[in-house]
Amino acid sequence: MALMSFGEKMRIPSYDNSEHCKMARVSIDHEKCNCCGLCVKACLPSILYFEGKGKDRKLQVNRNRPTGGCETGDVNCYCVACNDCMAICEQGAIKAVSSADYKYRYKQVMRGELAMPRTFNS
Amino acid sequence: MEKKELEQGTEPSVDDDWNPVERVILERRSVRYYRDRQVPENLVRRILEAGRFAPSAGNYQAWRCIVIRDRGMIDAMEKDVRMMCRMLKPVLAWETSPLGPVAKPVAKTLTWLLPNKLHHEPYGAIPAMADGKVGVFHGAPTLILLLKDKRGPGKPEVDIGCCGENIVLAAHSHGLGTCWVGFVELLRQNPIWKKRLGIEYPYEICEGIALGYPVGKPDGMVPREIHHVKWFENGTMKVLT
Ligand SMILES: Cc1cc2nc3c(=O)[nH]c(=O)nc-3n(C[C@H](O)[C@H](O)[C@H](O)COP(=O)(O)O)c2cc1C
Ligand code: SF4
Ligand code: SF4
Repeated sequence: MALMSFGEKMRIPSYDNSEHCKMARVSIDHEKCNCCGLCVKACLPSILYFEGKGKDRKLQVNRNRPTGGCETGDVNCYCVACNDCMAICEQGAIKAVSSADYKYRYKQVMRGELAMPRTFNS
Repeated sequence: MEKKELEQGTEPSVDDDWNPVERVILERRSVRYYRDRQVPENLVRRILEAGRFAPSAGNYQAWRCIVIRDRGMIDAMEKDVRMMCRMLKPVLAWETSPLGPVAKPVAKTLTWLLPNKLHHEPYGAIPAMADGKVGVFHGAPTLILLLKDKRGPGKPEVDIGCCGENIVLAAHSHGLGTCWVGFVELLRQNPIWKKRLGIEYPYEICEGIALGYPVGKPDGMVPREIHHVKWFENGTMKVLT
């Protein structure tokens, strides 16, 4: 069976449709996060930001599409699961837990879950 | 013998025993937050040497580097990349486009014609860069432009990739931070920058690498997607995950 059908190849997903574009999910542990802001600077699509002031300051993920005002609903918009936030965080408070997937032209094929580097020694 | 020496210098970590070369490769992360401190000239020249010895098709070395270390010049380039993004935004950001309902089919047709350039990720970044929400050179004190010799045999972009990655890895091995900046290509055809940088045939801007000392400790191993590997051996095929 082909990895992608002709129909899939020819169709561009609608980037404003969360059915077509399932973005990566990043999870934040607010107990551990000390709001240092390093991940905000590290994030490629700049989707991390702080909300609230003082004690209520909380790291948040921007779910708006950068091209306009529309909400993407349940998905964390534009996270690319690079985990640059995780690498720079000294508190172990943030991590991408799943990667992006799209429908049609940009469907992910022959790929699996996120995994740390492996040695295959044992 | 050499491998053994390399391995002795390695600190054992959680459940692995990476040698120093693997460690630099696996721990390299793109850096988007730099200190003001400039990188010494000799160090930049040293890491460019790593690029000079990269593999290339036919040993043609279809690359050339331009190093920019003037804040004003890097800022001016950033401004012009953003200006290009502002010109593209009215078409791409169809929700807010002045073109109204025509914008969406136009944007989708363009994406269909340029499926790589307008992949979901750059597609989203262009309007965000136009609005100043996403960084271009991230305040790095040094910018390396990788130019392509258009006459390179085969696929000169692959040569540039090899050269650039050698530069990047050498930089990280010295505690420097780097970030590839593909969006410099928005200045490729810009006559003002071609003149100012003295870029002429057979060269054209291909990629950029931001370089500097990082704020914090951005390098470290992270989880990434597994790519299935087809493996043919002893007359059978297996798929490794
Ligand atoms: C050819 C190329 C172009 C890139 N262009 C950009 C860019 O314009 N801006 C940016 O912030 N990162 C850019 N990157 C960096 C990628 O976003 C980054 O490598 C990827 O998210 C993986 O993260 P890592 O480098 O930390 O492992 C580019 C990388 C490559 C290889
Ligand atoms: S780097 Fe870690 S501690 Fe700092 S703001 Fe981000 S998640 Fe919080
Ligand atoms: S995984 Fe990458 S894109 Fe997603 S929030 Fe972290 S730094 Fe940003």
